[in-house]
Amino acid sequence: MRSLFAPLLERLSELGRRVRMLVRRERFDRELEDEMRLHREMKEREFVEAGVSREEAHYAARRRFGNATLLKESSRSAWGWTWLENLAQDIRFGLRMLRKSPGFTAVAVLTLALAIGANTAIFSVVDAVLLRPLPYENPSRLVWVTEHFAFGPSTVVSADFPAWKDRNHVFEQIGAFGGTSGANLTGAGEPTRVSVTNVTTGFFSMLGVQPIAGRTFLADDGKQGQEHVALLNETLWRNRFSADPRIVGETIRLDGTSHIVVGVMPAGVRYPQADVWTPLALDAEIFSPHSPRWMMLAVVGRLKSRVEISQAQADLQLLTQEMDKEYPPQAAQFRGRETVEVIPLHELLVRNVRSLLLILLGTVGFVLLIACANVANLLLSRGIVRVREIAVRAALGAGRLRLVRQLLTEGLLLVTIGGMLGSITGLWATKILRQLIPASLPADVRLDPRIFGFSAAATALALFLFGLIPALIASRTEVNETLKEGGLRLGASPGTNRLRGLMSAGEIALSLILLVGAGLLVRSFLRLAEVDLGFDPHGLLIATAERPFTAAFDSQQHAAFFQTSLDRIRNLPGVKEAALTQRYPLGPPHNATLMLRIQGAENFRPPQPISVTEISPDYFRVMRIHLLKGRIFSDSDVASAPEVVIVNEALARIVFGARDAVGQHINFGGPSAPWKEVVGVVADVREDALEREPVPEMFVPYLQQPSFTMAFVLRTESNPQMLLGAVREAVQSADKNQPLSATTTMDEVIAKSVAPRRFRMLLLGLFALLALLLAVIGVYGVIAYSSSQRTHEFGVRIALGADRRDILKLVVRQGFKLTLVGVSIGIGGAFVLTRFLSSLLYGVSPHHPLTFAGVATLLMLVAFAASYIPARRAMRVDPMVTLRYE
Amino acid sequence: MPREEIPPGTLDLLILKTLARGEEMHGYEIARSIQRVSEDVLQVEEGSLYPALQRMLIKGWVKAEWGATAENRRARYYRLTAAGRKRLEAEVSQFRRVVQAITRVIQTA
Repeated sequence: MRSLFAPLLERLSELGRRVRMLVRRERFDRELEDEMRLHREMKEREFVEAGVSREEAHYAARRRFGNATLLKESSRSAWGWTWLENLAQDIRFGLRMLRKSPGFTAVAVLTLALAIGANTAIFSVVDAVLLRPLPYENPSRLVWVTEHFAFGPSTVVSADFPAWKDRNHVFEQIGAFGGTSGANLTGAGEPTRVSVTNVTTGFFSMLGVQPIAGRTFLADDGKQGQEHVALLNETLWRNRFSADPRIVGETIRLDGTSHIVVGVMPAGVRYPQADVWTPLALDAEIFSPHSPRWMMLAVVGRLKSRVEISQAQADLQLLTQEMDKEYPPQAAQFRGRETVEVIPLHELLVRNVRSLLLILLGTVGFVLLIACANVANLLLSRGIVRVREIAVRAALGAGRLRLVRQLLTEGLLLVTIGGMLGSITGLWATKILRQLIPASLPADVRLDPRIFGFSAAATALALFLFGLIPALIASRTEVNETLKEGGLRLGASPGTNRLRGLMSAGEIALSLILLVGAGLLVRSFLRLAEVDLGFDPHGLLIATAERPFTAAFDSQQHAAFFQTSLDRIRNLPGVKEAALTQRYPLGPPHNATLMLRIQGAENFRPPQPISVTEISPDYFRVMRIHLLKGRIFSDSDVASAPEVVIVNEALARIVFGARDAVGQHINFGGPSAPWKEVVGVVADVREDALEREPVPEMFVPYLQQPSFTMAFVLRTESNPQMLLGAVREAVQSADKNQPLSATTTMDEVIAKSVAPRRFRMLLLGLFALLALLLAVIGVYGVIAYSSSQRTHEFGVRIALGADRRDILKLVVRQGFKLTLVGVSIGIGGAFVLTRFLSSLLYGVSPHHPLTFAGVATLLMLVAFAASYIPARRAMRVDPMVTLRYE
Repeated sequence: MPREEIPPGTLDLLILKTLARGEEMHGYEIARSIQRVSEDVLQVEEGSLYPALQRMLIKGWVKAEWGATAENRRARYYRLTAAGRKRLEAEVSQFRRVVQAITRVIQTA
């Protein structure tokens, strides 16, 4: 045994001795010196005794010892700590050098911190959204399934779902959800509006999400004759029920109907999004092809192992085509040409942000490159200034490797400080970037080893790019040449100068690309602000009242409620006008129909879904929507009067073309619905989004076609928000159980609708400006440095009679050449790259010539300014002063 | 008598053997001792003596303690350890083998 461990023990005690030496190395040095001094003195005496003069002996002894420092060092190096001591020495020296030039240090560290920070922040979002798997069980097998019809949104018609569920050959499990709506949650406390989504009973267990209290749905939940049950979202449970676990088994009322709470789902379940989930049992009427109304479903499935997505797609396509036969003849209009699409669930959830995130990642990558080039330039300039110092070191015997190591250490220090600062700011910035994460994606920015790994990698790249290259170049110093030159006209080799020029041209190119990108986004934003909304949004308050949607839907009662509330609101002080509408512009989605028929044109089929909005007569007046033809509704258009309809310009154009729309009769409620007379044509309004062209629309009086959800729109005298309390009181004086939802101003609605675009624009603009700033510093640095190098030359030129303006031109031309190269490369690059932005642009081509020209001009001007300052300095060179230095 | 450089690799052996005679010695004494015993043929370079001593300290072959010389001056005295004694035996036998081998090669000329 002992013999086995002996070598190990020996090793250990040897290590112990080494460490002891490291800890007490100062004492060690002193002792070694004492020891050697004794030796030297004894040697000296030996010489004296041999008859040498005292002085001779002293020197002889010293000679025998040779270089005492070297001897000491080699004695020390036996202990194996040289590398550590060298490193400590390099770091100390590096820190001293950095402290000695605080301006340089600050610029370099800040540049790096900004670039690395931006990269860390963007990457942490990319990591959360694109790289991390969904927090579900075995998420790679989860797919999203949809049907595409010849028209309208992609969705799954509920009547197709049972066939998919029972007859597919490709899924382990398949689930669906849909019918997302609002409900008034009443009972304890203030009535609240909550969102409710119906999910099939196996949905959560398919995802592998566990409830935090109670249970998820059982197979029988939701079937006819069973008690109503519901699952609560953790967020609602905390806010509304103070996280009381006893809620499980209690009864809540949704639109007046009792539901027993069976469980609470964690807030992390963001798909499907809802405050409350209720079961969707397959015996519901909506699952029959003969049902009068189907539901739009979203379908998710878990693929069997070894089943490919394409197999699943083919299998479901076949099933859906078989289903076509089971639909009644009326459905033929949209059956027969549908296609099924299957994609990974993760792809569905991130597809809206993927390209944006990749663009941002590319952008911050560019910023990092620019920052690296910039700091490399700075270091190179310093390396050139220090060429003499380096030559002296080399002459005193420093090896090239040792020199590179020392210069690299300085770079390492900068990068480390910059990297640490950057990571901290970056992680802080992720708070702002969080809004890039889609709401339905169950992911959040998390501190992740990968994020630190990325920061470290970015930092290492930076170190390599600008630490190593300058170090290698500087260490190649020709000792003899440098020392001979005497130190005054030391200059960079032409190669170094070319490298520096190339780097700043590259910086200009990269920042031009970013500026063009940002410019295009700004341009899009401006174009959007110019869009004619079709109504006047200022001073408009909106408050929505969603009536309980119950089986006993008494339209007269609801209409009376809305009329009473509206009258009370109208009489509130500060309210100029008020109206009702089932839907307001840029608000919740439309109700749309494909059943539009025209009297006298029986074969007419609408080419796209047509939205229908129920309004009170003065809606157009309150919104300032222009009437183009005919009349608007009046108070006499009541339920008992002849049915009327108003269409917008787009509908009049698409449906009636050159004919006059006013006076035509249309209907859209099925073959038995009564004809409605078109009484007016109003101007188009941007309903869905500012960037979306107006769609064909119809408006009907809400008294003739009641709706259970109506929004009050109020034109107010001053700040609309101040009236909110009074409006709520007015509404609740008509029905004390009626909550208001989506209370907002129209200005806010618009701001919110452009917020993502605005955020993208600001983000990209910020990065582009950062890039511009860095590039300008780069150009300035190169020109300032090279003209300071040429001071002597300028002095000679002036002495020989050159005009000072010639000197100015000389310097500015150098900067101009550099910029021109950068701008040309940049324009080429931007031309290739901006097409990746197309999806983010509005009303502007990715190759918009004005933006390109504008940005190029801007860069030329800024670069001109950056080279003009050093040029002025060069112009004022005093030939006497410079030549005297000879 | 011309002085010879110490053949490479044998300095450790010489130092260990010198200390093996039982006395504690400081660096100068070690160098003197080697010179004297070799009848002035072997000359220890100070430039290699001290690094060698450091190496042996790390390996644990020798131990060092501060003491006073006859003239009451501070000096570091080196002493052989048990591990050093073992090492000496190994080095001696290895050296012998090498010398015998070299001798054979020279004699069969």
